[in-house]
Amino acid sequence: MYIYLYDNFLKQKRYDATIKAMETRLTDFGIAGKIVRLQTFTDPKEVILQELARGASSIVIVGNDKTFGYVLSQSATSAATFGFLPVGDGNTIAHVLGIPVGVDACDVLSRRRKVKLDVGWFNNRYFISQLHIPPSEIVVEYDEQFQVSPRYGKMELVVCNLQPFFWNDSKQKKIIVHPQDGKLEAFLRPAIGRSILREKFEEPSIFPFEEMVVSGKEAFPVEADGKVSKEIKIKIRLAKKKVEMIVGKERKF
Amino acid sequence: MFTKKPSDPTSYVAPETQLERREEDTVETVVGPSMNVEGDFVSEGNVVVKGTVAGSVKTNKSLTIEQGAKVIASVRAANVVVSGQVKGNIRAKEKLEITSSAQILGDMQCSVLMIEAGALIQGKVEMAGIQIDVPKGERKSNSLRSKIARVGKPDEESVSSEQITEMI
Repeated sequence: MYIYLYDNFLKQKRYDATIKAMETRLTDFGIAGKIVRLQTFTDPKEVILQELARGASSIVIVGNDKTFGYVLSQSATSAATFGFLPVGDGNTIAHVLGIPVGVDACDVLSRRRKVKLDVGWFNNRYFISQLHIPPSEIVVEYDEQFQVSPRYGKMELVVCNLQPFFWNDSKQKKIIVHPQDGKLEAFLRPAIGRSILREKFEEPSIFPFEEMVVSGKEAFPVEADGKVSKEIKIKIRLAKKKVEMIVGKERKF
Repeated sequence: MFTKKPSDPTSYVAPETQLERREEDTVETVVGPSMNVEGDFVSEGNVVVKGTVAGSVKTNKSLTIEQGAKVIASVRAANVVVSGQVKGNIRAKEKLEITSSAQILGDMQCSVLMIEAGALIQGKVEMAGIQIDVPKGERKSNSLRSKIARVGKPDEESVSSEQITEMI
């Protein structure tokens, strides 16, 4: 049995046609199921656990990167197979997973090509897409082997799991991050000044890692899958093969 | 009649093309220009150093030390390209390339060595596979010459001119 978790933004009129077409396609494939609409205060973990107890086998997230991160970060430990139907703007993870945006995603879902995904873990919380620390005075220790610090001032840290980190270097080379390479990728950018509108950054340093400790003399903000908290020391680790996911043939890993 | 089992959709094996693509896209480890790395820096992929590294650097693939980078560490990699400053021993399993802007203070070990004009180096170079056969006659005359040379030195035990003629 399939359970479809619809994000709240899909109520907007401009998505009506896409959603209708998707539902028709899913019915044609014989994989239509119960629809649950996620409201602001809905706990996705609770919903998923209830539905699994009622006999559901597959949980399908319908929405964008935000929906995907929000649902999976809270329910990564549940024993369900997850699917994803990307709709609308802000869909970068779908591209990594090889799932086309819109109605064609139903074809991928029907094929049920399953892969176990690695997820990030920090201070007893999972994160699926990205962890972000805005420019702060931090020191990073990798795999208990070496320490990285900026020569001067603050630095920004981005840890990528599924969401790609877009950055063009001087040769306009794009860097693509793979969720299934058995490592997390950390991008460190030291802040070297400030322009009128925003901070200026140096080209990033990239370190693939399995475990890292980030510490600061003062508390620094940490944003993981849209949730912000203040921490003084965090341990980031890779939880290998934690989530079973239906992916497309064109996936990037 | 219907004995043929349908293929399991879950048992998916990645085709060769996908494996190849994975190889191509591997993210490199990059140490940025204003970054300090301290400790044992171990990596499995290609490493590019633009900042400062102190301790040791090890990788199974290639290591590039760019111009302006400072490495105060022992270095071990399959291929090493040096354009910056290195203080420490370099051990390249295959090729060691030293460009004109490089400054190296330490011993080097490699199979293939390339040095551009202008590079500053102070250290010993060791390369495996040297086979220089010395012909027999040359070996004899060499030993004789060394004995004669010893005669000329005042500190060594004295050898008379008669002994020399005997030797000849």
